[in-house]
Amino acid sequence: MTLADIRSSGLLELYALGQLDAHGQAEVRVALRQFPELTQELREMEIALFRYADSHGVTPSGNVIDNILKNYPGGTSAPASQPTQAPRSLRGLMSGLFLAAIVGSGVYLWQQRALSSAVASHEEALEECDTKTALADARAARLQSVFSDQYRSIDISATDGYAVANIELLDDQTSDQNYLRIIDLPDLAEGETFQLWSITGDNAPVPMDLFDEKGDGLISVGKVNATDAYAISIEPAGGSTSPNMEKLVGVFAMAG
Amino acid sequence: MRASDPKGLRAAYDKYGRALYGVIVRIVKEPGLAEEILQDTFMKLWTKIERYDPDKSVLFTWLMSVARNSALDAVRLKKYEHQRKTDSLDITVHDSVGNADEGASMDVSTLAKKLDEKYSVLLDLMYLQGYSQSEISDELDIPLGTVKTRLRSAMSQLRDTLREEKSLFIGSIVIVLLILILISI
Repeated sequence: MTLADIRSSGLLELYALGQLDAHGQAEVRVALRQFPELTQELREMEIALFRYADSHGVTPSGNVIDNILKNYPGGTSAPASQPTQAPRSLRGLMSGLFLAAIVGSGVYLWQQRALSSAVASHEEALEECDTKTALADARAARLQSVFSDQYRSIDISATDGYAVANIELLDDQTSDQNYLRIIDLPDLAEGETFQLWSITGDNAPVPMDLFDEKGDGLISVGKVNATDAYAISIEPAGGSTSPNMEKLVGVFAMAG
Repeated sequence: MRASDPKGLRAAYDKYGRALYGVIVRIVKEPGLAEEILQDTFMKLWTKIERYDPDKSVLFTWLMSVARNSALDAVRLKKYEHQRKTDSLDITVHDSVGNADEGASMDVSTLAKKLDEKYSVLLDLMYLQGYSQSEISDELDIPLGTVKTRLRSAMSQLRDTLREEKSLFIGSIVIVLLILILISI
């Protein structure tokens, strides 16, 4: 598809609205990689939709945030964000900026369109900042939890062909998910992915999570209670329904 | 940021909580259940955050997807679907407010008011209530192709309205500054 085709197809709008199936989403992601200028359009749509949803927002009761913070690992409460008094030097700087803004106001009148664009970019940067803050916060909380006593650590028994694999399975005793702590991974060829399997008795291995990169070193995966072992194999992208034993990376023995 | 000081989560909640809750409560029409889903949505910031890719969307889009899917699942689970679909379209605003907790409030801004009604109805159904395009086609008794066309126009008008509001805001600031300059002279 050309750039014009994508724009006229309405796919980008449906993507922003969360109305596309997996195939449609994949199609848009390919287009976003192929035409980077579409990313800006998508961000504008997302911000417009946020504003729309916000304008129709409803205030939940105060209990919700209290419950969230109570259940959030390591957190019992956090005060509502309050404006802080700027230090004197900062106030001086702000006064200077204020004067500069007055001087530049004439230019503002003539460059209104350009400024609108700058405001949009600023909002996008704020979004990105919020996103990164939330990500960092979540990762820190996750790490703190993972290194607590609630996890049992099992090292991978790597197969001969994949001796480089150095992965720890962190078995969560209290929830329905585990983590893979990835120290080293074998290389993947184009179109391949790692796949986790659950093995119980003589039953066929049950396909589980897919991952193709180390990420931040900690990957959340599913959990099967009373499984005998988990295994990791290399499969074609998208995963398989049964493992390729020729590309078995290793096994985590859960017994004992 | 330290894990014991979850200010990032608090900031995300302060910024997105109302918008998400507005959507959830419209879908499930039950404030208590809606608050549980909102709570789960923010907990997923911790438990499922690795599934979020900042290159693919902004954080709100991801949270909205989680919230809306959870709300729709809850509706299906409780077999409220039939009741929901046979309700009047008018319930979208009034019922959710009426059912909400005492402290709940709703503020439909000029952003929404500036949209043509045919577009705001479409966005309300699709974005705020989780209807699919074909469900909207049935509900409004208009062809699916018209839904698609209107949807694109709605998004375009929404973006244009947002740009106009920003320009107006900046213009107002400039005028105030010029008045201040004149007064000081």
